[in-house]
Amino acid sequence: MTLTRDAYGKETLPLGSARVLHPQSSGPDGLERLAVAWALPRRFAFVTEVNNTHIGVLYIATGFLFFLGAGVLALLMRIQLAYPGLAFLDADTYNQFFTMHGTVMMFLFAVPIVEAFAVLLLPSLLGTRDMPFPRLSALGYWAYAIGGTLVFSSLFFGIAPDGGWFMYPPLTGPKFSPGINTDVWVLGLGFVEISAVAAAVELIVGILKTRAPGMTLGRMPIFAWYMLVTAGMIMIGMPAVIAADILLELERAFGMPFYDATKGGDPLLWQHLFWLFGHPEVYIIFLPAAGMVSMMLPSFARAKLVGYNWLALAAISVGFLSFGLWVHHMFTTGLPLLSLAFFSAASSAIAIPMGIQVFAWIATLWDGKPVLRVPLLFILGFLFIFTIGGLTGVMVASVPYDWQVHDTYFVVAHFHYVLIGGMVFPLFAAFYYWTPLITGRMLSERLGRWAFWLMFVGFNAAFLPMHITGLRGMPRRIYTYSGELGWNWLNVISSAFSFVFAAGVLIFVVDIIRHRRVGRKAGYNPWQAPSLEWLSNQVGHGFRSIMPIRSRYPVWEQPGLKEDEVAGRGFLPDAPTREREALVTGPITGEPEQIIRLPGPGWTAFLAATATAAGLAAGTLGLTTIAMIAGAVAAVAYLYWLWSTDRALPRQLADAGRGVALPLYSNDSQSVGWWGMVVLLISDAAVVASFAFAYLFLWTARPAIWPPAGLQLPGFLEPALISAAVAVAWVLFEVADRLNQRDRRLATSFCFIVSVVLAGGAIVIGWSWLHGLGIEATRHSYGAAVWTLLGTMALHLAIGAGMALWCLLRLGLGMIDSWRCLTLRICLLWWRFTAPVTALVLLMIAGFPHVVS
Amino acid sequence: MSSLELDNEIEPRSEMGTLHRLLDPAFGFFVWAAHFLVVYIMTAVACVLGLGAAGEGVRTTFLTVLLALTVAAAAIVLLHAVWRYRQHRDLPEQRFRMVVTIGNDGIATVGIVWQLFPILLVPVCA
Amino acid sequence: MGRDPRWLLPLIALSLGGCGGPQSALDPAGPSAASLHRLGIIMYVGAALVTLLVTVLMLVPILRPRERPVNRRLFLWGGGVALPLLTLTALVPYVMTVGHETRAATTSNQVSVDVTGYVYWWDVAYRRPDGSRGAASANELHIPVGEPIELFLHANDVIHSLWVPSLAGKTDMIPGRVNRMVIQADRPGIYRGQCAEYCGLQHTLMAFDVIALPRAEFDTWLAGAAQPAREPATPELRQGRDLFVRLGCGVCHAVRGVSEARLGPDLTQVGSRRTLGAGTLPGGVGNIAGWTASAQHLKPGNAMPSYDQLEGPQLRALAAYLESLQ
Repeated sequence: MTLTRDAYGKETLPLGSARVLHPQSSGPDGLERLAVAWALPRRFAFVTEVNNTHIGVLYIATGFLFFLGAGVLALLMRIQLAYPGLAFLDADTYNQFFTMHGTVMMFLFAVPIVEAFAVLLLPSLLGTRDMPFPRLSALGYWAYAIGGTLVFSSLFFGIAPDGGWFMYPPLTGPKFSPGINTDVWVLGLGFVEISAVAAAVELIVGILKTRAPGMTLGRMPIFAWYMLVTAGMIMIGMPAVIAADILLELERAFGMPFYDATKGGDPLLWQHLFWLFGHPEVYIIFLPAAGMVSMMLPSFARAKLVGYNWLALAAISVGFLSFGLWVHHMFTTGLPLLSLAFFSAASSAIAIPMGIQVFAWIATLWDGKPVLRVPLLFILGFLFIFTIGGLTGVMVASVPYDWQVHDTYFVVAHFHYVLIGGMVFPLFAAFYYWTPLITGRMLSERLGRWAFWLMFVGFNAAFLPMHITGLRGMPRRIYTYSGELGWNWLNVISSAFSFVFAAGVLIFVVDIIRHRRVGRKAGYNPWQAPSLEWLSNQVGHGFRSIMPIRSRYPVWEQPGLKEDEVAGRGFLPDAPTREREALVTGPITGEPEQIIRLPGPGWTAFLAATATAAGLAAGTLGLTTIAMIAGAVAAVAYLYWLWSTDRALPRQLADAGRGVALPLYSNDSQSVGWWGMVVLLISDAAVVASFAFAYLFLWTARPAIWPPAGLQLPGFLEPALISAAVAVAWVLFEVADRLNQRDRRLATSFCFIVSVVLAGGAIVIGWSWLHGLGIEATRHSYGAAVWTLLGTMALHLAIGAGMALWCLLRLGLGMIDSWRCLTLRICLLWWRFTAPVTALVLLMIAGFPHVVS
Repeated sequence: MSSLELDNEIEPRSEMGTLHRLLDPAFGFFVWAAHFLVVYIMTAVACVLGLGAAGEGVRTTFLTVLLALTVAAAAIVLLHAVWRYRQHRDLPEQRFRMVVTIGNDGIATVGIVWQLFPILLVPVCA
Repeated sequence: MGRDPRWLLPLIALSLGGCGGPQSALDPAGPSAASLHRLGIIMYVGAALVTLLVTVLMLVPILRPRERPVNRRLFLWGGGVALPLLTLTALVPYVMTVGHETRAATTSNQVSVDVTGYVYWWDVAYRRPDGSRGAASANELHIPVGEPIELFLHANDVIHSLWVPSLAGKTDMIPGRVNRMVIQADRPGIYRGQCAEYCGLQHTLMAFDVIALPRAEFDTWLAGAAQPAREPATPELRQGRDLFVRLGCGVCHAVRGVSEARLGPDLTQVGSRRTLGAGTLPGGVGNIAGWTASAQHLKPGNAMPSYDQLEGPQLRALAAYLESLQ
């Protein structure tokens, strides 16, 4: 066997003198070793499993339970609103219910469940075995499941958030919401932020780096395009709300007045940051659903997608344009009309990619001979409902029209059309479509039709009248109304049909429960789908072997695919290291680059998530001791986790099957770790940018206090000193990398030590600088903004110093050497980001007051 | 071709880096985003600095600057699209990326040009 | 007729015409609300046509599968690009023009009013020509018919939003900011409004009436509102006034000539108000007594304590006094 060829037969792979790791020492064909490596842990240890199929199913089930819970809240609210003046729910309970309905539906159902579908399906759609960071998925899931449950159960103790899911200060500030309710909301969102950022890292790196060989960007299943865009949006958008949350909690806990107008803060700052995330959020929910629709349609139309290229570019367009819409939610705040109009125009532009998608889907139906099964029914329902939601979206995007309908039931109708139409209907299509893949049995076609028609009729009859209710003057978030306002009949109809909708959901639940016993056996590829996931057996290793891909519709266009896959004639039919493995491929071309070893079952992720959840929850409830213990456990878990990365690996090529040998390790930009860090840093940059935005925005709101009277303007000496120290620390890290390449361990260690000293010095200088200037964090928004920005940068420097110590320790223990140096290089990325950003932030804080005063 | 073969139509190593090639199809939207932010921030800052109370001449000058920025941004995006269209593209994969690039550039151009409506129709700081 | 969709307009107007009500955007009574309603109708018609088009297009292949391959260009370029591009290129400038006209509406500058949102009620103060605070009211805004009135919107505590659908769109009241809004009623009448931005526990019970009067009546009303409250004429009313002072009502409420405070609604004319507690109850002496005795029961969480310790006669006297403040 020649092992010097790469996957394309070219003799380019630098084999050198390294031996090739052959697995063929025992077992007939490697299947046994695959099965052992990917075996599920037994019984209670199931919480240690990190495989995407396992986590994905749990994730979806949890998300669906939250959907049911928040749905019950909606039904209770509809009972209260059925007649004027009912006292079924009192004001306080009602306020908690609508706040939790929105929060749970958005943050605990919609976003997590689309991420969950991606975690479950993407690896098999991309023809690989797992996501690149399985433990990160597990951490995201457990943090979300535990944290979400805690937040939801606050309802039973009457301490649920009651400020609306949008949590506008000053209502949610320390003065008007002194209770714990708001903190519970911040806590819940914290968990969702953890899981969302984890998912973003996982999805971006997974889609770009772990596809089947030969699967170029243009051959990815269209769902991967949609998820790539979605993950990118989470990466940029989520940090804005993380920043807003941090500022809110700083105001609530420490009195730093970001939103308090009496101390120079501005309530609109929250609205900007919240909607900067909150509007893209709608598309973060919609795009994965659109991607699933695009995956299912060809199976039922019996035709390839019309306009794959168009859908890919439409997804990208929506992803970008959705960030130009946030003021969309602030049209009534009295901002200058010109500013509003910019956003109105940008909102309109998004109609083009939306139009392209809708018409591409319809054209796909025209192109084939559609087979009307339950998933297609839900897809047609989606097209109808979502079109109406999109059109009312054009209406609310029209500034003056929005002045009438904003915060009325018209808007309630609009976004339920968008979200239930654009996300819940595709989700139910997906449930019917992919359940056989997971359970091996079909859901009932008959019950499915019942579920669809009840949901479709119930939905439209409940929500269509709400447009009129809103136009006739009914505002949102009121727990009752007077009988003389002309809303009575409309509300009765909405309430009655909301139960019809619920009946449809209930039938689906019954179907899910009973199909495990009585459902028809699905067999292989029951929908005759063109995509790869049906080749995978969805337990353990998934594919017997990783198939080379030459088409967007491999199952339709690559004859013999299934047979070759099952026979193990593809890549990686074995486990050469006897552990879980996957192929790493080039982000654009899909050339195989490397075999990575993936972590198997382990307690790290579960423990880290549990301890984090317990610590944050105890902190919120004021149980300091428990919080500190849990925090310590969490810290140990995270450190252990990090310690276990960048493992010692044989410095050999391994047999990837098909006569190809690939390295097991990469220490540069080829590695998934490097890509993961880049994604994380982009998110981090967005958080810092949000703080910088807060600083500049607060100036536009209160230019007179920049700085407040009596404070001297900051000088440039200390910022220059700090920047110089940080720059030298960064350069030393760069030098350390070069020295390490030449195995100069002592000199490398010296570089690390000096970096630590410099970073510490920079922090001390910064601290004394601010004290010298007399800038106080709680007196006025200027001081609060300055302290937050500089505190953030100090935290970055401290982490940078921690990384230097970390590298020093690993170097001393021989865990970093000239070849095994990925840890060092990932830490280097941190410094490459931190040093210039610190200098920029300092320049702004020192220079801006001079410019404006 | 059996299901096991990879086609050899893999594009030759490009002189553009991986990150550049990944982001180039969205070029139009980076320009769109930059233009959008610049125009929005300029307006916000100008209103804080009292443009609303300034004379007709100053306001006209301000709008002319916004107009020029918009035209320039649209022109840059269109030029990028033309440039990508003229580059040779033999492989389906390169064609795919070209279509996505040009399509994105097109939608971004519409997004930029539509900003002319507010600039031309709505008074500053009202 | 033919392809021109405008023939649908009267039809839709008819079907929506029955959608009046004291608080309806579909029943405009002022130029601003009317132009927004017109814009709405154009968009309803457009949206209905597009929905129809999409629905028909998506059902055709299901109901009548066909053999020929589809014309992809027509779908993608025609439906995906041309349809939104052309309709919105037409719509967006129109929308901007409507917005500009509404926002930039000029005023006679004869009547300017400061309206301030408090947790769950509205303070209304007419500006004197020198800009100082003149006649005050609460939860009711009297305006002359046919004149654009300039409102300056403030918030005392949290964010509120002033919305009288029959007259104009809503504008938020944001702490630390002053927003401007112009309303005009073209016919006399009472137009109900309600807080449109969630402002806490009793956001629901925060209503507002705009009372549009012919100019002469308005002038009379305004002149009356600027006068100090009349001296109580009967012993019972005098007892009521004394109770008002003794119980410390004046710590929160103003009665022109008696107390100055502005923590709660101005009560100088409370006897003539249509509602109590910002739309919680209809006005009248009985409800004034009821509200005084059990405000916390009727509108839990509002700032007014329940004066349930008052004896019957005391309560009657106090209510009668307040009722007499017309």
